Amino acid sequence: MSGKRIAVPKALSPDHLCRACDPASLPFETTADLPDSDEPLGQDRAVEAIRFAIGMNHRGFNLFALGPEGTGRRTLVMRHLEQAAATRAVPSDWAYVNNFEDSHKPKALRLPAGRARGLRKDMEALVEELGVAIPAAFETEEYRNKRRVVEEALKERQEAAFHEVHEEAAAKSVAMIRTPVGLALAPMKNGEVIAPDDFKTLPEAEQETFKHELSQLQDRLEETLKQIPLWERETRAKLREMDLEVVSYAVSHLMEEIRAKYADLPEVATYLEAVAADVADNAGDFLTDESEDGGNRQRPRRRDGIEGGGRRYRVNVLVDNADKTGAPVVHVPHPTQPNLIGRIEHFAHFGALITDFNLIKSGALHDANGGYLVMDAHRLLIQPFAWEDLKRALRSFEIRIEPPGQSLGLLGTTTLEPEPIPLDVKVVLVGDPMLYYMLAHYDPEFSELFKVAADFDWRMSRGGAAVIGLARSVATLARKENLKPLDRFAVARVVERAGRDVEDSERLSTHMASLADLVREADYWAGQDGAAVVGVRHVTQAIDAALYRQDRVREHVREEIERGTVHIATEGAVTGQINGLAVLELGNFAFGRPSRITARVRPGKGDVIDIEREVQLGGPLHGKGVLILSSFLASHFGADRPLALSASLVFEQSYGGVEGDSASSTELYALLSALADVPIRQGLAVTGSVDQFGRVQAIGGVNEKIEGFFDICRARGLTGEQGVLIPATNVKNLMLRADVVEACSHGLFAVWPIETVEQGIHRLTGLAAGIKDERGEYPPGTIYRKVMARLTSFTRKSFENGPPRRHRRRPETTADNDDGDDE
Amino acid sequence: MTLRRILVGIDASPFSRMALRSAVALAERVDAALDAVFVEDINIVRLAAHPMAQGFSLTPPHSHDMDEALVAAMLELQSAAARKAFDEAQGPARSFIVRRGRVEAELLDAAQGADLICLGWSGRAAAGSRPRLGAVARILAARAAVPVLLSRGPAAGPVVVLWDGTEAAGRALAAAGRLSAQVGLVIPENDPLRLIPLEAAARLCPAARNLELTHVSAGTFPGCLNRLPAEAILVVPAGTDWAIETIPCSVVISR
Repeated sequence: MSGKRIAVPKALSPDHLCRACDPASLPFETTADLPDSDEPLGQDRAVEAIRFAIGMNHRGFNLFALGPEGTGRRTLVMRHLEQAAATRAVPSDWAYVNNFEDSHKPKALRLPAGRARGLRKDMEALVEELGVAIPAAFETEEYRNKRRVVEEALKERQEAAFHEVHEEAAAKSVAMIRTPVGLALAPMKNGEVIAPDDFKTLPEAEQETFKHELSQLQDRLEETLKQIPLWERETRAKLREMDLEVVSYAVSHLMEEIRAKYADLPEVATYLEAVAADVADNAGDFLTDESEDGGNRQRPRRRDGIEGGGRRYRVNVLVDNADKTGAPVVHVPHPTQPNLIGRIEHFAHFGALITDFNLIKSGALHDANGGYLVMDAHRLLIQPFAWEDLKRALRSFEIRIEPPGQSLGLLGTTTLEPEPIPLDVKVVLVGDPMLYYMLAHYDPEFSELFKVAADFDWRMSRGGAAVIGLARSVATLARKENLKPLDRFAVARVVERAGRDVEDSERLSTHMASLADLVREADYWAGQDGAAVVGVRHVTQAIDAALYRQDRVREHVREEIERGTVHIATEGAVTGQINGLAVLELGNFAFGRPSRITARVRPGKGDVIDIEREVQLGGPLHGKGVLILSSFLASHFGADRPLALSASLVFEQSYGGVEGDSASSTELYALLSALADVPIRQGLAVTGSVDQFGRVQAIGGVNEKIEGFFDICRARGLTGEQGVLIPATNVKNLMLRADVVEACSHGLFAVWPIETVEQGIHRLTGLAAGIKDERGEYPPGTIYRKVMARLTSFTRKSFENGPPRRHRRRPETTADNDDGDDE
Repeated sequence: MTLRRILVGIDASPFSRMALRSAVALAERVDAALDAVFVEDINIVRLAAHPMAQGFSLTPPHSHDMDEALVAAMLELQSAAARKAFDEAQGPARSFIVRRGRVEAELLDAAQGADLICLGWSGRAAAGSRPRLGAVARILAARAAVPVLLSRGPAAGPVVVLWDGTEAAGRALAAAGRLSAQVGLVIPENDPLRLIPLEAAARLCPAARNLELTHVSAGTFPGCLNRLPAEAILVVPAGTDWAIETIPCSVVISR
């Protein structure tokens, strides 16, 4: 019964402390012997997703590449997209042209790849030709004569009408005379107007006749005069028709030529029809203002401003795929809304901002149309309107250029509504996982539009293939960036580092960015050293130097401990005091820091007071850990009686917050030591969380924690009694520094894998925890027996004193504490 | 036989100003005296005072009562403008007279003693246009006893005669000789075989004595006239049945 013992695990052998990479297993001398490798490391899942997204041509199968920065997300995505794009057809060209019916809404023209450029040139040439042909047509003798005939006809018609009235007047002895203020009618005799005095002497009847006839003639004349503007208008219409005819004739052969060239494109043909009609309507735009024919005022006139001139016949080529051999792959480094969907520029004209279809500029969506568009999700999301407009384009399958202010009504000046261009693009967003999860949670459209996620892992299994793959990636990098080749010892060191980066002896980091930095830095040190090949010492130097550059705070912390300002005992034994291990994270740099944890006990109501939590310096996980260990105590020792205990736990000299439950086993050991009144060996430090059954569970940052305590011990001198207790489940995470491993191999330091609290307390105190016999009692001399005895005495005491009064509880605690110390 | 006195009828209209310029140039060339006359149209004066007279404005077309004071003021302005134009034209000894009466009658009357009457092609057309021949010009061209110069532009160019070998052409050549010692010939003949003898006949004509004849153009009539410069003066004998209006330059109708 008492013979039942719990085996205390032995210290870990050096090969468990760090999984070295055996240089002999690397089949090369230096990385110069290795071929290039474009294969991504350990991203099989992501590659599969990328291939799937590229292959799926259905609505919403856009891709979100999520993973930590530096795992080569964009490089990998771009490589696959470029491979896929090379096999796809070159997409159409797009151009905006004037809408002659409504210039406010420019028309979009789709042309086969490479032909937009030609159309632009042809239209430029056409306008130039028209500028010569039309004035020439108006300057021909034939045109002038035709025009004269029409003008003379009007004159003759007028003259004839007047002549008729004139004749009629003459027949009735009435003069029709032209005066400086117009025409006038007056009675006449012998070709002369009758003098007013003479007129009065005429017989009454004759006067009346004159009056009557004058009035009639006046009516006639008035009627004739009214006709004149009408005739003039008719003449103008005739002249205009004639102009149209002249222009149509002049431009017909030019138009025929260009029409024939684009006869296979119905859209372009329609546009050219509109151009021909518009040129005929606005022939004046092609005439120079300083007319050589000064008298010919009726000739068409050039219009002012941007309306006139060749601007309206230009072709604004938005997308020119002439030089492409496959589908486009576009990466937008700065995805603002205008960079994405295009913009409409303005220019100042007499103080007003005006624009036309020539000022429409393409966006990345235009450039990537028919292919792939890649951008950074975070950069996209911080740009106003960019995300919303991208979604709108993807939803509606068209690119509609709308200035950001327009939808808000902020734009006060004239702008355009270009005809939307059909969109067929696969969008790839690259971002970190948090962004992906947040978008999926908060934006209902996101999951509809980005149905494929390429999840980039930050680590991979450490098999032989992975190691060789990593070596090849290093070789490729060295060649690409013109670095010195690495020998196999150096590569082995890099591999070990990749393992340490993920804190796992069975995994390697896929974070190529940081490994690449390590290789670059090692190359630098090799250069300083004058070496032609990067050796293991250069890699180690790079690691150490990087560490040293970030090391200031750790150094300060260690100094404070060495100088005794912060009390950390590394020798002797103390009751109720234990070395815990915390990890401090500063940016990318993490290091372990030992922390003195103490426990005091006294009779009470069964509370375990965690002082960190009381003053709100402990986080929720820390609180959880304390409650779990309270539960462990209660279930272990208070199953058949009330736990008349009051205990307090504290992280001594801790002035920042404490978070995480990795100290819960440590706190439990301190508590057990205080209850059993058995000292704990101070040369040991402990980490690990605990469950309600007393099993020790894995924690993070195990390497930093061990190294942190090792550094303190080494500074004070290694005794061979020192070491760290870690959860047994963390052994696979061990990738310890070489100096730690070396000390362990010489028996100067030790790391013990612990599975249960019982194993741990045995290692810490040298006394077994004890296992209950069939009477439910622990064997004498065991820790748990001592604990039970102490708790029984507390129970007795509390019955003697009666139930504690609540309001006096706190002052009593201090008194009890002293009592507890005495026991 | 040379010109001693030239009369120019002016009314401040664009063509009458050209007639004045032509007359001044001519007077200087042949050293003749220059008289200008402005005629206040009696018909207009009477008409304005007439109780029954009715005026018609052309732009915009509407009828209105005649305002005697307005008409008088307009005539006054016109006379002043004519006077100013005359004063501004530099030239030889001259006089400016204002007469009142029927325009054509007064001009014919004033022309007594003159060797040439100069008139604008039309009294109301704008400069640069190709107007019909004005009513007054038409009457004077038909009735005047002396040669009449109908000015269509500044007639400073060559004096030209349409030579067809007839007697009337001979008279025109004589009249041209009085305007200039150099006379151009326009011959209405396409056929070179007939053209050469015609030109030779012109040189043999008595009127051509002391004249320097040059060949200006030839061709079918009236196309041969189209090639004349606008500043040329074409001398034609009175009584020809040509439509004077088709001539693209100034014309002198000789007696």
